[in-house]
Amino acid sequence: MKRVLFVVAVFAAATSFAQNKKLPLEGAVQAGMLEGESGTAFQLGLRGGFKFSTWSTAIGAGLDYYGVRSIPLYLHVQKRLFNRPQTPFAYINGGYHFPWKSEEARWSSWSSEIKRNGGLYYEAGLGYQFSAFTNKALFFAAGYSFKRYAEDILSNRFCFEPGPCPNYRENFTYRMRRLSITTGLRF
Amino acid sequence: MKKLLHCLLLATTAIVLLSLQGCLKDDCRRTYTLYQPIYKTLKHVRAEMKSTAPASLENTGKLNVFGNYIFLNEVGKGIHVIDNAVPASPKNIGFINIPNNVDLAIKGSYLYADSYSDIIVFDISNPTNVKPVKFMDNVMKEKNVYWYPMLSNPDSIKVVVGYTTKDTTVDCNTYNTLYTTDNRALDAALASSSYAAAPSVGTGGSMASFTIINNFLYTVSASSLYTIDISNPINPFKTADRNMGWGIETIYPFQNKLFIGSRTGMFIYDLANPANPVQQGQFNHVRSCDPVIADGQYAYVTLRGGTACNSTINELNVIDVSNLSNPVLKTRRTLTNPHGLAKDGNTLMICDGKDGLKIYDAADPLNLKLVKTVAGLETFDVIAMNRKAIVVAKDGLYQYDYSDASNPSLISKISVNKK
Repeated sequence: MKRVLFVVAVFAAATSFAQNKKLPLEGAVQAGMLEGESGTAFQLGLRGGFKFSTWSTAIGAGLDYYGVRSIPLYLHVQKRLFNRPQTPFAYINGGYHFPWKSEEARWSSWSSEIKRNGGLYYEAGLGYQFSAFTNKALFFAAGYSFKRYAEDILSNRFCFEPGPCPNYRENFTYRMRRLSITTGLRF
Repeated sequence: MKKLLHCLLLATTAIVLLSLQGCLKDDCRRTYTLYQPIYKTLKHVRAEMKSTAPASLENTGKLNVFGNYIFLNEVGKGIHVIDNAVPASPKNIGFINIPNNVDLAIKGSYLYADSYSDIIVFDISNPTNVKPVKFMDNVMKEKNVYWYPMLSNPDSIKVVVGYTTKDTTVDCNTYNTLYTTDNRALDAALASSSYAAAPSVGTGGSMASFTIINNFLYTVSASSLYTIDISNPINPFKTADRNMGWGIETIYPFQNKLFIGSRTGMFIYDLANPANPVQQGQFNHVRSCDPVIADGQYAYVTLRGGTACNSTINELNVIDVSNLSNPVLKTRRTLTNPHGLAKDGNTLMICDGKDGLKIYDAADPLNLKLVKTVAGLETFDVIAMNRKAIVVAKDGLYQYDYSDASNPSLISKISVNKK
């Protein structure tokens, strides 16, 4: 939660700065793939923010299907090499991702309650954009992406006789490292 | 020059991404609790089976109400003694250490409790100074874990009295190996529970596996019904040991009968010869967990689903037992996760798990009317008598006054100590 607040605070500061300077708005939609040890997964993204010179910053959100479906919420910062429609660029995203389903009851050998916790999400990479349509740019990007995810599992183990059984708790923490390839439209 | 720069940038990107291949590995860490048993000799364990200072409630099980006292099982550890002379302010006055204890029954000044396969008789004439007066060795053989032909000396027998826990973090790839190892210890740690009823006898709940009628203690384990003559409380002896098939769970006394709940049905045993109960009737139902109570013409059985119960059925069955040899299902009502139940006059109470305590008007048992749901507590068992309900819930022991069933008032609560 602190990370989310940090992202919002940074964006609020950037927004305030942008409004004072009357900076142009910029948005983007993107889709792509995530490739890692757990296989290939789809991703979607949408972001909106401000542009100043060759820099831009935005708040982004999306869908990330790698490992566990989740919703990343992040601050996006981008630096274009040149101040023109066709240019390479570098970007970094940092924020928090929220699991799609935060809780689940599961029945296997015994009943379990699973609480899913999101975690740190970040991505950094390089890309190239082309001029497309009117005042728009088509871009391709590739980067390194990370998300941390944890499951708290509380199980009620089998008892041979009726009665409340002691609970058994375990935690699984996953750190997922992926190659992110995206394409999208900047407007 | 710019094209060269772009080419260089693309090449750099490709090289950087390729070099990241080694970093594109997921990892998983599993944090779990490792249970390690603590052993003591049986002699030592028995020397400690007596009143000690009050202990906080942690994982409560079955209960038995006797006069102004509530004896409440702490699953696998012993029994809390609660002075309930003033229900608005019950006092936790002591704890009886009984390793692996899950059930109890009371008659007169004596409390009968299990400890593994043994049954121990305690003198409770002074509830603050409870003392064992008799150890019955290996009565319930299915629960035996330490009696072997070569081991009869209490000094040589080792008993698990508890577990030390240690949080451990490992790579998830080692999960399967560790799972097998530490679950053995855990499963051994998972004990169970039970209760009973009648005048001069403590009143237990419907989840009980111990009950007393007149001079006999009846107790069920997973597959047997044991009959113990307690006419001489300090020298009880087993009179019958009847195999009933797997899945036996609860026992409920009514008049001269025993209603026994199993995972596949309800059995009715006749006590014409109390030393040797004989099956009189049987009602079969789908596989599920099912405490049972009875009130004369009808028996009330809650069927609970879930993994341990091998079922997805959650309901109340009302069974006509006017012909004990041929019980007939009359009506059923869908519930959420029913556990224990109790009936006081025309008031039927059902512990419906996380849904709380449901109170029904049972004036017409075939047309139950839900009067009130007491929500906000996860209920396990209930004893209802004299318009007072004692409810065992996950977070504590509650007492309600249900003089007005549609508006029960909370009298008191002893909270469970959350770890």
